[in-house]
Amino acid sequence: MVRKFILVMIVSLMLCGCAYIFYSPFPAYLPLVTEVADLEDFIAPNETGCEDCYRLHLLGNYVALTLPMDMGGQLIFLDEELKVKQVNFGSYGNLGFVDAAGHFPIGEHLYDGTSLLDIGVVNFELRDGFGFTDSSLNEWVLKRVDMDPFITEVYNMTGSVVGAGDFKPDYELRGLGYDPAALRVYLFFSDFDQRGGYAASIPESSLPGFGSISLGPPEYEVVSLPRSEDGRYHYTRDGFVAVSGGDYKLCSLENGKVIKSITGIEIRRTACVFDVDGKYFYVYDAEARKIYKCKTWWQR
Amino acid sequence: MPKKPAAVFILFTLLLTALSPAAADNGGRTCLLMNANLSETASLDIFRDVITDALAVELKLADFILVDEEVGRQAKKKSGLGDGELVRGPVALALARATGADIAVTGFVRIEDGQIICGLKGYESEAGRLLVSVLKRGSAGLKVFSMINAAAAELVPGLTEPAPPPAEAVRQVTRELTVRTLSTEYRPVEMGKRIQVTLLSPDEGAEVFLAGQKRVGVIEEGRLSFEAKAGTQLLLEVRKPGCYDREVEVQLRNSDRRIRLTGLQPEESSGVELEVYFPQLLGLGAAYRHLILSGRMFLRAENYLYAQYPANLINLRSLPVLHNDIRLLLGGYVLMPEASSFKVGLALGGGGTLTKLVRPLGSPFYLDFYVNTLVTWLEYRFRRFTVFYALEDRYTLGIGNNLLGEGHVAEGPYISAGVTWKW
Repeated sequence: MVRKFILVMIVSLMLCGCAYIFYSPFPAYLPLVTEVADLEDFIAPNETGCEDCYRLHLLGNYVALTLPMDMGGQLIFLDEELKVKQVNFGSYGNLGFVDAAGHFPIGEHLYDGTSLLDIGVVNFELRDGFGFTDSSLNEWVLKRVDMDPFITEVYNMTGSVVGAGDFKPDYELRGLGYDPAALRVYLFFSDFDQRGGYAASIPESSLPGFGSISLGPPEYEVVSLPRSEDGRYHYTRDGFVAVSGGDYKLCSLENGKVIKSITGIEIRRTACVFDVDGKYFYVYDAEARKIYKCKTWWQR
Repeated sequence: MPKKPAAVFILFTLLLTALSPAAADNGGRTCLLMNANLSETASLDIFRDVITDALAVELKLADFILVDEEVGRQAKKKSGLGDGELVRGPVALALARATGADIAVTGFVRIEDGQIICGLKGYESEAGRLLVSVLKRGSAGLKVFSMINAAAAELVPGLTEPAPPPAEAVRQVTRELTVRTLSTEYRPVEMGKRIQVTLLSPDEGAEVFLAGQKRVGVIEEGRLSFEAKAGTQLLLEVRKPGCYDREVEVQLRNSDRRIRLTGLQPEESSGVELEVYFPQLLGLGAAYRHLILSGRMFLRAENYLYAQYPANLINLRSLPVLHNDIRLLLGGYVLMPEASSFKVGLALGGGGTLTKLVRPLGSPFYLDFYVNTLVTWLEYRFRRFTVFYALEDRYTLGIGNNLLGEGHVAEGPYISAGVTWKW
């Protein structure tokens, strides 16, 4: 009996694996936290059951958290020390980026990136999809990639569409990363069976109008990424990040292999965003209504 | 022979002594009834009493006077005879003579393959001869009572009829018959091969009982030896103050047997524990357990302190987050007997996990309250310590300044293992 008991213990340990030494029933990023802010005073508890409706954006020196209309339609600006700077109510969505002048459109509004002034309503549909401004051009141009249907559009300052294209990647578009220094756009896809993800690296100049593309060489570089159930992929110059449940994995830009990961409990309702330099990332935990600023786990 | 010793036998001896030769007819003689129970199953004692009562009634009706039981008991004690020997005719006669009795009556009852066999014999003390013998057989059940009454009623007239003085030759024959009859009728007792059983036990001073009733002896210097019938199955019960009783079933074969008994489990009232949790291996917990309701339930207070690193210990950009988990459990043991070494328990309870972030400086303490909806508990007990293994589910309540919000803790269940030092 004793031998059986010990055997069960050993098998259990083996099944648990070494990863369990560092596993925790708390979020994996807690030891990396440098700032934390409690937003209970600004955000009502989520009783809608919506798990994928929060968005975090890094806009200049601000972190912007958006909540959809069924959650009250909020836009909360926080500075880098996670001090709440401004709370706005309205219709806000995915798209947030900084233009060449330091302004950022988010939702239907254009903000002054210095004083957080609401400059006015913008004229293009930006609630869905992903976009960026072409910093190599002097003129104000927004390039947008939409998820459904798969279209690309280019807007000018007045909101007029000055270019458009479409593409048929055969995969589900889950995110967009943009590196203004490399002038490259990274499109993240999940296959519809959620078996894995892909990152397509596309020169900025190819958008829009790359038409019906097939991802992969020779046209575009595509790397396979680890599976992410909710398709949360991010771009940093140190690598792609795949977030799945409570796991955060840094993956090689070249081949998508996992370089370093952290693991912890899955917080069901979270949003996160990584700075392009790969120094910090921000996590909003909707369960506890807290936002964390964390150092990335791969930095030494 | 019965296949199982559970075809148990009850053997008893009745000594009936007529103490007054001056009594009229058969009357005036005083009868002493002594019983001996050699059965391995106490539940069959009832037959011994039934036979005793039936004989007493018949003997009194025939004017025999029953001697006080204590007189016979003293005579038996003085002779140093065991219960089993009382059934032998010469022994019964010797006891009768020792008490000055004229008549000795012996009897037995045995259950074999669903049949009950009852035998009674009467001996004349002075002549040393068999006066009467009655053997009845019938199916076990309520009929046994009427069978016993009939046997007793049939025996007594044989005792009361005056026997002519036997010729020497006849007397000799009678004695031979007596011996033959005895050896035949007591075969289940006398013919079974006796073997030596030796119990080896670390429990010095523990008492051993057969079938929980008949005391076999005491463990001395780590052992206890006794005789038993070969091929039988013994149900031993080992008892020691301060320990849980333990039953041991032993199947005997045809040769002497040494049986090593595992140590009795000390009765415990409290214990301290050391434990680790998966997946919180970078920590250590201590607990105090107190048993209530005669050890069937327990209360457990626990504290588990552990550190959380993101990926590895040498990551200079991370500092460990410290969590301290405090909780209280109420549990009970199920399924297994109290004295079992292996035990299964179920528990429920709740607690809170206190968390302190190292950065930013001055960050508050966070407290995640939770309830344990079910803790499944497995443990194996040694004499002084217990190892345990538990699985549990946690539901965090999401109240107060917490980190986990409300809901079942994902990636579960929690697994803990440890050791309990008990007293």
